Order: sequence, then structure tokens, then C-alpha cells
Amino acid sequence: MRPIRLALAALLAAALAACGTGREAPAAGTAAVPAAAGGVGPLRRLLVLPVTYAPGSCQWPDMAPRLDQSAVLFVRDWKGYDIVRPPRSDATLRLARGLAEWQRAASAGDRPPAPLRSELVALARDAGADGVLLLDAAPDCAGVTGKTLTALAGVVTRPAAPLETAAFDGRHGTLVWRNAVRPALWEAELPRSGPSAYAMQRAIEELYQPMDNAVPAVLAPAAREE
Amino acid sequence: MSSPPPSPIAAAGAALLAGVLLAGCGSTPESGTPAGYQPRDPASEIERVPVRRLERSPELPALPVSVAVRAAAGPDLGPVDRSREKMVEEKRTLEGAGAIATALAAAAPPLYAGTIALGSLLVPAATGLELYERRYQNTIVRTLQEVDLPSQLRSALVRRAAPAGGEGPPANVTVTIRTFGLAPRSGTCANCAICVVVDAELTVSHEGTELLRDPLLLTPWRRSTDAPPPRCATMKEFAENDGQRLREAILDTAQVLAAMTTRRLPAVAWTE
Repeated sequence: MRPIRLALAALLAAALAACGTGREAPAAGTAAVPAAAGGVGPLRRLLVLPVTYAPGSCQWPDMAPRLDQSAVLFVRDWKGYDIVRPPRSDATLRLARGLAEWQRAASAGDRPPAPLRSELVALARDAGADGVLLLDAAPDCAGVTGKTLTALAGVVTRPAAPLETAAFDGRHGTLVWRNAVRPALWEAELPRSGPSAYAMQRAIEELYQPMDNAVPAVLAPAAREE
Repeated sequence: MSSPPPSPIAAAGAALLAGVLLAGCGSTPESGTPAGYQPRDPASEIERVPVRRLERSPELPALPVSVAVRAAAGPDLGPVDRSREKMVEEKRTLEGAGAIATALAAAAPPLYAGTIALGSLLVPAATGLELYERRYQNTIVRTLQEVDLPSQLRSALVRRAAPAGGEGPPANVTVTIRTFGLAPRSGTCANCAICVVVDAELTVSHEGTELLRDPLLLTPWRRSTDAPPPRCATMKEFAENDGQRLREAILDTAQVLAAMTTRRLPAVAWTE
């Protein structure tokens, strides 16, 4: 009986550990695409906030800048958005962290709190951006055993997703698109240095592939008026 | 098909008219930075191909237009719609599917190694496409054949062409679709993204003089600077709902090609 009790205790502990977050994540590592209102495609100029990174047990060096670079390249080159960078300031970082924290607990249809919305709208307006993009990373380095227990616990409650993103309308500060993934190549035991460049790129592709392409500039009204 | 040689008077008139037009309509590289164009980034591996424009002097009227879309292979385009009294010339060049494959292989082997070309053959064993389920393949091929890009593009251009006003001979705008189909974005695997790709050429001639010849490139790794990224999805996503996503992607691509064409030709009379 003792091994069974131990296994049950481990399962319960893993389930409780996973209960601490409200982040909605796909159970099987594939993309989940929650609600989008008017779509992200018309938001051609996207302001990309600094990546929010909660290392947890993963001490991967340069994780945030590597994610940031991969995401910006993919969203720009394969989704067609013009990328705008915000000023490097404490206010921008606070906004990114605030939105990431809100997003982890938010359900479909929720709106960010009014103070966050007004900060977001002001930032987008000052930068001349149509929308704001957030990328939140919280990788799991529990090892294969830990991940197995977390997966078992996922039967009871949803585990946290290592990568989550959200796009907000720059005029109203409302959420228009979000996605969360468990990158397939991050499931195996990773080296201390973190995912390889290829694994990083594949993870970003998984995260952003379901995103609508930007409405092409040649089809925009301004282009037609020329 | 050959036409009789022009008379000396007609030839002189044509040369004079062409000279005037060439003085007013300069084929120039696009000036400034078009909306949406991202400057070359060393981190990006995508090649951006500059585009040219056919400019018009403000004092000269825009040229009336005759539109033609040529496809290397494809179904009959049907009769021309003259309900708006537009001057539309329809030209078709029918070539075998094998010719497409040969031309593509010679042009850019890495890009087209896994390409499914319109009207062409699907070669699973040679391209790694055997990874995809047969039912997806069937839906994809059927959709590519049903939603005919050349005829969609021709319709989009006809809609944008200004009605002929009897102001002399039209500029002949011809888009030749060298290839159209699906190509892998990076790797070939069951869950890897494949993209709708088009490699076309835009030519404009007037009175027998070629005024502009420029590529229209919407391929994964080589694109015109005014081209958006190609529409990509997995084979399964493109095939779902009877190919709805692929259908929409092809229709969008036709609109994009038409817009790229009209934006490059301010010297020609368009309605939008």
C-alpha cells in the first residue's frame, strides 16, 4: 500500500502546485486560441512590450532578449506587422508586468483594469501604434519526473503554460487575441543554457502561427489613395 | 500568331507617341519607403526585391488600360465581362504542367523542392509530402484547381481598371503567373507550415514599346518590397472545412497582387 500512497501524495502535491496559477494553458502542448473580438489583423503597427520572464527553476541566460528577438522577427517577417519599440523606462516595464499578471488570471472576455488600460492606450498613442503585444514566459525546469507529475496533475487542473502572448487594441486597451503554448521541443530535458536557437524559433512559431496576418499595407486605404 | 508589319507612317506615329509617353512615364525604382516595408535586417534571412513604378507627369492624362493575365497552366478563363465598357484583352497561354515543374526546378530548386503547383502534379515520393494524409492532399489539390488564381486576379484588375475613355490606344498591362502553389516555409513535416506562393511578372507595353517589366514576388524567402508575407498554415488547417482557409488565402492573394500591380502603375488609369 505504501508505494500507492506515495504516488497519490505526489500527484496531490503536483496538483496543488499547479493550482497556484490561473493561466489557461493547452494540455497537450498545442496552441489554444481563446477569444478575439475584432481580430488582430487591422492592428498593423504593433508596439511590442519588453518580454516578461519568470525564470522559476530555470536559470536560462539571456532568455528574455532571445525570446524578444525571435518573436519580433517572426511577427514582422511572417505575420506582416510593423514593429514599434517602446521607450526603455520603468513605466513600460511596470505596464508589461501588470498586464502579464492580469493575463495569467484572466478569462475570455475579461478586460484589463482601468489603470492598466489607460497606461496602455497612452503608450500606444505616444508611439503611434495600433496595438500592443505582450509576451510572457514562465518556463518549467522541473525535469522529466516533475513534468510527468505536472502532466498528471493537469488531468485535475490546467498546468501553467511556459509561453503566453496577448494582443491589445491600442485605442481602447482591450484584449483582441491571446494564445498559450507548451512548446513541444521544451518538453524534453533541456541543457542549462536553455533551449537551442532552433527550439526557441519553433516555440515562437507555435505561439504566433495561429495569429492572423496583418492586413497588407497595399490593401490599406492610405495605400489605395496614392 | 504573327501580325502584318506596320506602315512607315504608322511606325513613325507610334515611335513619336512612344517617345512622348516615355518622356512622361518614367519607369523608376519606387521612391521613399512604402508602407509596410521593413528595412533589411541582418537578423532576417528574407530577401526583399525592390520594385519599380511607372510614373506619370502631372500634365499628361493617365493611360487607358487593357488587362491580360497569363497563366502557365489553368482552366479556361471564359468570356470577358464588358458590362462596364472596359477595354479588356484576354490572353491565355496554355502550357503543360510539366513545363512548370521544369521551369521552377531550373529557377530556384531550394524554394520549389516541395512545391505543389497549380495544375501541376503532386509528387509525394519526391518531396516528402507523403507525410500528409491523402485526404488532405486531395482537398488541397482540388481547391487549388477550383479557386483559379489567374481568373480571380483578372477579375480584380478589371474591377480596378478605369472605363476606357477613347483617349488613344491603351497600355497593355500583362501579369504572367510563372508559378502558383504551395511551398513549405522551412522544413517539410506533417505539422510544418506551408505557404501560398506566387511568382509572377508584370509587364506594361504601349504601342509595341515595353515600358516596364518587373517581378511580383510573394514567396516565403524572396519577396517584393511591397508584398506582404505569404499566407501560411499547416496542410491540415488549409484542408479543413473543404479547403476554406486555402480558398480564402488564394482570394486574398489575388487581391494583393492586383493592389501591387495598380500601385506600381500610377501612369495607368485605375479607379482605385
